[in-house]
Amino acid sequence: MSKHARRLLALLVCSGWSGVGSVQAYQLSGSYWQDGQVNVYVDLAASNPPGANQPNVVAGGPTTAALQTAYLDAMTVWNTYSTFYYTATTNSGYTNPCASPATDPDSSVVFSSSSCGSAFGATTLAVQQTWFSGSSTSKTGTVFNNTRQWDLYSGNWNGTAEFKRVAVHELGHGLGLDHTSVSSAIMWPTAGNTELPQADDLAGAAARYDNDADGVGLALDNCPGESNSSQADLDADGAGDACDADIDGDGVYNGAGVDARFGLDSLANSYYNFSSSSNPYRAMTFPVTFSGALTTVTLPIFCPSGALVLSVQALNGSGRPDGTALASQQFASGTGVPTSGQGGVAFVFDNPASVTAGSGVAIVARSLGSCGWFVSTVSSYAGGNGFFSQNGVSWGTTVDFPFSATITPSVIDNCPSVSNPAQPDLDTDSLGDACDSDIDGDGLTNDDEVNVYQTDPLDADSDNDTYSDGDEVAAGSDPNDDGSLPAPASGDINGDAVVDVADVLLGNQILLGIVMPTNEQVLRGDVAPLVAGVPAPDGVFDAGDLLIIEQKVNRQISF
Amino acid sequence: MHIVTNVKSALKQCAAVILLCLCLPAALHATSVLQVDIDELLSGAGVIFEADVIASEARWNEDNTSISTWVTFAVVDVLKGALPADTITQSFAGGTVGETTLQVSGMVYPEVGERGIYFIENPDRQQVNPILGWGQGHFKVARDAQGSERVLTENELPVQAIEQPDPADKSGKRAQYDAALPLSEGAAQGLRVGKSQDARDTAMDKQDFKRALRTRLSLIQAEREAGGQADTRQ
Repeated sequence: MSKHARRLLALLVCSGWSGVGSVQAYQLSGSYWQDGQVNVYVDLAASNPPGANQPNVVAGGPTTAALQTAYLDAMTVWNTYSTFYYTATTNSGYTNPCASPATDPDSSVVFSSSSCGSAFGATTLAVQQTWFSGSSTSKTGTVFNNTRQWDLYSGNWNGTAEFKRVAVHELGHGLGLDHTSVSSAIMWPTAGNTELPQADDLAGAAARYDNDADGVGLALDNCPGESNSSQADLDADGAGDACDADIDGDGVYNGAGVDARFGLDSLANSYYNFSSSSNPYRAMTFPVTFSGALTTVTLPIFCPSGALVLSVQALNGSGRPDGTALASQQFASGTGVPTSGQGGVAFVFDNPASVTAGSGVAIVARSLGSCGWFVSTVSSYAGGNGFFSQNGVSWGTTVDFPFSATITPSVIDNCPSVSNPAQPDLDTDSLGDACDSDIDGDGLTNDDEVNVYQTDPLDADSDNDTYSDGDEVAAGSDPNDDGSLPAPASGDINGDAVVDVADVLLGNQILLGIVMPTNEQVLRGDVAPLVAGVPAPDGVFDAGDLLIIEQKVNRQISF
Repeated sequence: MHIVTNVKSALKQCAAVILLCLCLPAALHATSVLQVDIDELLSGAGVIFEADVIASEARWNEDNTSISTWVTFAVVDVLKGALPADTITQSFAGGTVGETTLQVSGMVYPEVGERGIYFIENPDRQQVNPILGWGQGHFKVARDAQGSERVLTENELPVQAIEQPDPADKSGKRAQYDAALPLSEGAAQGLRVGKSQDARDTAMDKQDFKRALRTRLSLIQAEREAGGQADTRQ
């Protein structure tokens, strides 16, 4: 059974199990792991070696190794049933879960007689500490109360602290779940017979780490913003087909796609002010990956007053905005740009800039009042830099600002799912030869040309007799014999060997769209124009053909 | 008839399952925090007081490795123990300094402006959470629509009654009670708690609550002095 299937089954089973109180009431903490996973150093043999610090267990209770295994199992439980992903570094020494990330950045677990220097108190079994800035969690750690005795067992809680289910609960905190009001959930503040995450717990994890509801969490999802449970990735580039601007990886893009993106998923609580009177210009540069029209920029910008002018500028020799606007548009406070922080806001250019792959450009924001541009908790963007300016000419460096840029490519891939960098299209039908079932556009499939008619699939007229292979097959002539030609069109559309009012009626129905003609019917009806009183078919059946057929039926003309 | 029989059978099975599920919480104990009952709170707390929260400040420790939040209470009534002054400051692990937060899961910090009744385990010792039983020993006092002061749990559900039999009860009710602990909605066992924050008017009057606590304290102390075990639950 696949992991996704197990998750689904778990949700169903747990939903039934907790049916008595099935209202979902999970609580999310204020932060989360931006990439949906965390590595935890688990080495109880190092953190709690034999002696005074070894784990305090009941007589005959579990060994330190067994507790270590149980903790790792608790991590696996979340990996198996939820959309969060724990990894472990084992047997690599002790790291301190109490220290701040600046001192010791690694997440870890330990048994201790105090919780990071503070007494546990009479009722505390374990404490989960989590460090975060903005909404981004950076470290978590579990401290088990070593003044209490621990055991490992399954089934009903017997009064002795059972290590594994407590670990599952604490690791639930570690991934960002607070206590719930659903008593059957593992995140219920008091433990009991529940040993595994329940529906409410899994829903909480999914709310944090599976926003696209495809059953694949952030850590493993190759399209975090698009539901794609299959995770199909044709070009194996790590971006799923559902969100890959170049599915087949041939360098020609399928359609509009995000060319560059930074920091929008990890916004801090702080922003940089820029106003018309003080450094009104802010800019962020980035490299252009594919050529096309830069239609949209998404920026966490707000303007309580005035307006915002956004422009796209080329870069000068020092990588700063050169002052030449490739596109520019003004957005009024309250209508075009929000007056308070709303996260990333999509700004669409009415007249987008044309940008070229391999170049660098700048998104320049100018405040005509008072604006703020939120920063990210992620430290820096590798592809470009943030700048500020008083006059839009002289630029100083500052933090990198969150953004994304969406480009509609100038060339759209004519075979999105088949790699064809050169984009050949013999019949110019906008379907590339690599994915066109009728490359030469003669009306016969490539397979039929090769296997049935022995005609050339790359030549619409294999015998060069001016009649396409498809037309010849439809008319009953030999597409490989230039001496075999379709019979001259007579106007006998319905093929009953008589040109009469029935053909006129059928012709009317074809022209009115009531009947979709076959190729043969078109060939028989395509009599116009008459050249020297003889049909010279022009390849289409239209009103001119029908008029001639009517005249023939009325015996006004003959051929 | 056959179908009816099957339905009855199914209903019986459902009833059994539901009964089982309802019984499960009876065995609950704490994960991060052990479940306690009201008598354990009363006997275990070193000091119990009603107070207003007048200050709260989070700061780094001396070596900048951890953050604690220091909460100052202006005490208006002491129900148990003694305090050297009218104000007392207690340290709670975690908090936010600047953009950095150390979150201790399950921790709810008393907020400035809040009035409450607090069961402090040991006011002279720095604990992760100085409140005994964490949320179980943290009660808020709020006024209802008529202006009466009512007692709420930490998560602002109305405390409607203390239903735990008296510790000195000799009729066996206490033993029966301990054998089938009622479901506690996140509060100390032995309290009847409303299910909706909107039902504030159903909460106990503050004076009634305090009077009941003092009465139970007297009974517990009398039981101890008589050599009995005030806390008999196994």
